[in-house]
Amino acid sequence: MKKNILILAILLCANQVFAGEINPFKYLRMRVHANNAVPPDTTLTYLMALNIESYKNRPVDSFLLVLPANYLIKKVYGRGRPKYADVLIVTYPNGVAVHVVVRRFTHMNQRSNTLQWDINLFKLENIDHIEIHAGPVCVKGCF
Amino acid sequence: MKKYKFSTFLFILTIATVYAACRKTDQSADKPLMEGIESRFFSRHASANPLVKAITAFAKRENEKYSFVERMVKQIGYPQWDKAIIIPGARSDKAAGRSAEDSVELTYIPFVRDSQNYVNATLAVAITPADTAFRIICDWQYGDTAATGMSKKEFALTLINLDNAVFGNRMFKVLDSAIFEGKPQYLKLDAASNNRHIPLNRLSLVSYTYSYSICWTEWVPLYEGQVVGCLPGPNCPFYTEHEYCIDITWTVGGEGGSGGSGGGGGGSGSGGGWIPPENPNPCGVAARTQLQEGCGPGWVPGGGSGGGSIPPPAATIDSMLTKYSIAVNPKSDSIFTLSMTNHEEWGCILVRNSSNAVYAKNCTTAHNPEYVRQNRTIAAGERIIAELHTHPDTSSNPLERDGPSADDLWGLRNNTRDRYTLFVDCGDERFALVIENTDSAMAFLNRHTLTQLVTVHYSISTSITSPSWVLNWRNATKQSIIQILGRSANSGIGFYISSNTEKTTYIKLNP
Repeated sequence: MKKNILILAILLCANQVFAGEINPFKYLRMRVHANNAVPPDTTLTYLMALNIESYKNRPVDSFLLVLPANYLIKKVYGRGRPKYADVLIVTYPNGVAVHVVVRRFTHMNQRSNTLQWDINLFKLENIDHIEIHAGPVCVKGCF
Repeated sequence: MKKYKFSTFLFILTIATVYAACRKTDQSADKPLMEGIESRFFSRHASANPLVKAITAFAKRENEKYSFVERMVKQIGYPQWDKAIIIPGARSDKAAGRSAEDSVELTYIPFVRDSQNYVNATLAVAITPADTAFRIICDWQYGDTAATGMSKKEFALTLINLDNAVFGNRMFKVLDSAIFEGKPQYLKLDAASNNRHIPLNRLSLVSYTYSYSICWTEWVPLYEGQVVGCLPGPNCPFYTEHEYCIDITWTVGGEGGSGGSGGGGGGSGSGGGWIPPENPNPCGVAARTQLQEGCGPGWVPGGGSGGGSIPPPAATIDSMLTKYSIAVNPKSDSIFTLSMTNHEEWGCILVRNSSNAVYAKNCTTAHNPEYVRQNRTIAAGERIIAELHTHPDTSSNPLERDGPSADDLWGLRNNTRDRYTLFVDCGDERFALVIENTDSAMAFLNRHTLTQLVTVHYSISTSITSPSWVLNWRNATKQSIIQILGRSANSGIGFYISSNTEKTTYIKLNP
């Protein structure tokens, strides 16, 4: 009897392991969940205090200078279309992220077949707007 | 002769005795019965609300004068005092130069017959500082705007609202579809917005204005003129859904005419105005399953009291997408040509108007290759049901054009309405993201940050090797969105593609 129960338990566990769908968010979701438990984020507090409107139409670089240095990733992406660069995403712990959006490009080619852009050229472009995200919510700068 | 006289005397005595006995029996049986009916009429379902208590006491006093209770019960059943709906009103007296307004109320008492589980009539009572006016209105009178003092729709919604208060019914089968805008077969009250009081502009002279608003959803059969033999729901998706709200307003007195007034102190005629009108063409309980002009109400409770969204299965969404595509095609062809020529995204919104017509409008561009901000300006009676934008590319190879992006998914957060659709037009193919379950879609979109969507979409797209993302970028982005969304039962979002020339045939991509 015990043997049968053991076999059944093993089969059930195996089924869970092999039947699971690919979950691209597994790691990231854990981080977002962890956000719910964290105390008020000092990085977020700092970012929320920034006058992000004042950086509109100014080079991306001018804004990067005032960003906290404890970022995790700083990378150019195509948010509206993956092959067309339009945002520099700077991520911080606890699911906080800054999206620096550019709409008009004069220093770099916006389109890339390889989805790789030179961040130094992106920094020269003028900012269209800046968004601050905390977890799944855009807390500042979205419209 | 003597013998004859005696037998006659005996006969008369017997008749008199029997008559007296019978009369006595009748009296002794009637009195408790009437007391029982009256006691139940005034005491059962008594309300704790002081205003309703006052109305009950007023009716009791009137009954002592007119003895109407028995007949009223026979005709329209018993009142549900505790389920009364009270609509605040306001008095204005401009002629007297008064700016202050007295508080007045209009109260609707629902009536239910013992054998039935719906509200068939209402006692409308308007109490003002000077007067108490009342009127009894039956459900079959909905077409008689003079009797109800309201439009067909307003009266139907008022009784439906009372039905909801007594029985909790929110879903109703509409027997006379002409009562409502969209000629629906079913409607459901919006639980959140019933009985709100809306301040109104004041009228001239002395008048009392009452108002409240009701919101509801109508389900119209997909193919006009057809009657669908099942309730809207997962197993019967052959309806389109529309939401409406209405502010119902009455004016009593002044120059605005009157409605809901039975005359000071109790109307006129026998019974002091308390006898409900006789239905000249009664159709009985059984006939409520079908409409017979003038005999019954134009609606019946049906579909239970449950709320929430009704997720439609894929089969219905296919036909919906076909309909939307046909509506947007005249615009989409021209904006895609513009997109390719100028290398910029274009977008339009799709609206449904009050006549149920679906069309595209407000096509616009931000003169930007990866972004367009939709112009969501709509006219009265229109509702945005979908949107479309183009994904052109500088390359002549259509496989270089992107499928939906992270921003496209993120944008659905602002439109998680049932069946809201976002089309992405790549010229030779058109993708559609459809909200199939609002709760699940909202939960899915709240689980993921925009940053996650962007980075994960990037990672998955650039990891597709069969065929290589370098050779077939569109397929890579399509595969990525399928993986991100997973099963539509979980994410609440369906992902579809159409590849035929007219974009009228859709295949669901995510399981």
